Amino acid sequence: MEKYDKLEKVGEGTYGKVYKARDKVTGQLVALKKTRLEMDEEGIPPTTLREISLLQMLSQSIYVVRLLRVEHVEKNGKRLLYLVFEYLDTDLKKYIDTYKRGPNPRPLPSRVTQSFLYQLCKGVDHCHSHGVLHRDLKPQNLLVDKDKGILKVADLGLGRAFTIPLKSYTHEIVTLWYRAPEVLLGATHYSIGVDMWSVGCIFAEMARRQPLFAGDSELQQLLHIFRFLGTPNEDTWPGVSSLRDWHDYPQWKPQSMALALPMLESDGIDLLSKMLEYNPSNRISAKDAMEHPYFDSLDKSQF
Amino acid sequence: MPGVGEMEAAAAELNAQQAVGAVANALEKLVARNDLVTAATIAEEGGGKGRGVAAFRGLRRPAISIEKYMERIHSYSLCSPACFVVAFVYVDRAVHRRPDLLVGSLNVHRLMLTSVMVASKFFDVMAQSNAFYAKVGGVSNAELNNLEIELLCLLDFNVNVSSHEFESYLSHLEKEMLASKTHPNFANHSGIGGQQNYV
Ligand SMILES: Nc1ncnc2c1ncn2[C@@H]1O[C@H](COP(=O)(O)OP(=O)(O)O)[C@@H](O)[C@H]1O
Ligand SMILES: [Mg+2]
Repeated sequence: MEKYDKLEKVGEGTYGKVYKARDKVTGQLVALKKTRLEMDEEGIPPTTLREISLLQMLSQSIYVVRLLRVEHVEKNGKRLLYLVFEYLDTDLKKYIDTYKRGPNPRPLPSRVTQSFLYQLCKGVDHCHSHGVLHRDLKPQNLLVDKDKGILKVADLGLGRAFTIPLKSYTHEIVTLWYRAPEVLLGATHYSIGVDMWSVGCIFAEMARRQPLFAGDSELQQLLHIFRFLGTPNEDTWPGVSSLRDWHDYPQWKPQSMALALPMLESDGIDLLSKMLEYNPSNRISAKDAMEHPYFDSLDKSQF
Repeated sequence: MPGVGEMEAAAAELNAQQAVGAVANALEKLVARNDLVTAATIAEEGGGKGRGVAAFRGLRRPAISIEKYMERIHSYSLCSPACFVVAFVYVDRAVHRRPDLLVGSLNVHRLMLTSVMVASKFFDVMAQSNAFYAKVGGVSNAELNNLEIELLCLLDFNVNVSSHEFESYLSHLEKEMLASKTHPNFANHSGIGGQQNYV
């Protein structure tokens, strides 16, 4: 990879490290994601295969990170794949952290939250309209350009094309905190609602600067959700009691979202409650979310 | 999402025997035709060590028929039956991108082994490893890793298949199958590599 100067490590994931680097010829900053392709038993990891092919379909949206090229190199008989991405200065997790810690802790400006959420919905809608579920939406997987105020969806390693449902999905998806209740309850078929649940959790996290539901086991995670939104039942969520992992859970009444999230005005609360709707088929879609009154005060012409 | 419902039905109904039978039928016709064309020029290189299109070419024609070979792949790997149709789509895409790729009896086994494996990796929830497919398919792990990357480069990593595409390929394969049953000797129209793109 003599074409690039590696500058620093910016992330580490399941299948390799992500480096900030500079293209020696053009001077362009890029992010290099390396995949080990040694003569191992697995061959190309499924996450890499999906990430490349899905990004090639999706990269024309500016709200999805751009995969510039795939470098296929051979070094001492070993074959390596590098995914070369456009570089963004930070991710949403690190961005939120700068408001939480550091010399000047303060809430995210509500304009930023609104604009980021809108761009997130744009990116997610783009994925969904191309038949792709992201399945791992979380702040670490959203890249941010601080100065330009841009947010892009990244890390499609767990993304799935839902055009050909072959065998039923398992719940191999999504970091626990952002995982939808139907997945936690063992639903075998799920759809765009799983991503919208994650979007809701991310929205609340921008407002609170804290994860909304921070469980440390699947059961804990469910209980966090139930305690906040009320324990679901056949009235609030028809079919819930026939999901595979349904049990008799403690009965909680829903809390007031407006009290729990005083920093969100009423339109924001209304949109959040539509994203955190229990019944996945009633959960708001990304496209409909973009039309919600919460965004009325946003200048949409810039997007 | 229009079409997903029907798609689900089509993919779920598909049984492995039908899928393998229909894909094998189309491949056999194609191989028969291409073997005539290439009979004069084969086998000066090969052994699966080459790069690009040549990587898939074996030294001799495998004794096992492509149908039996795919049945074997299915019975061990338990990939979704739809993966055979998807693999056929990949081979067709590769042929359209690279007209010098002639699917014949020397390369069809490796092409299908690699394509089914990639299809399963992309679409199935739990795919078997390359090492597993290598054992089932009778090639070395290292060779299959190499073939995997060659195939992906041939396809430019374009391995998603839309429900619309899947359905048109499936119905094409099924029609061909019916045609060969009724007119076994005259059924050789529009196979892959021809002018027609099924979509
Ligand atoms: N294009 C990029 N620009 C800047 N930082 C990036 C970029 N891509 C990834 N990163 C950083 O690397 C981390 C891991 O990358 P990601 O694509 O999520 O890989 P993984 O599959 O390993 O989670 C991200 O959380 C982010 O902080
Ligand atoms: Mg990640």
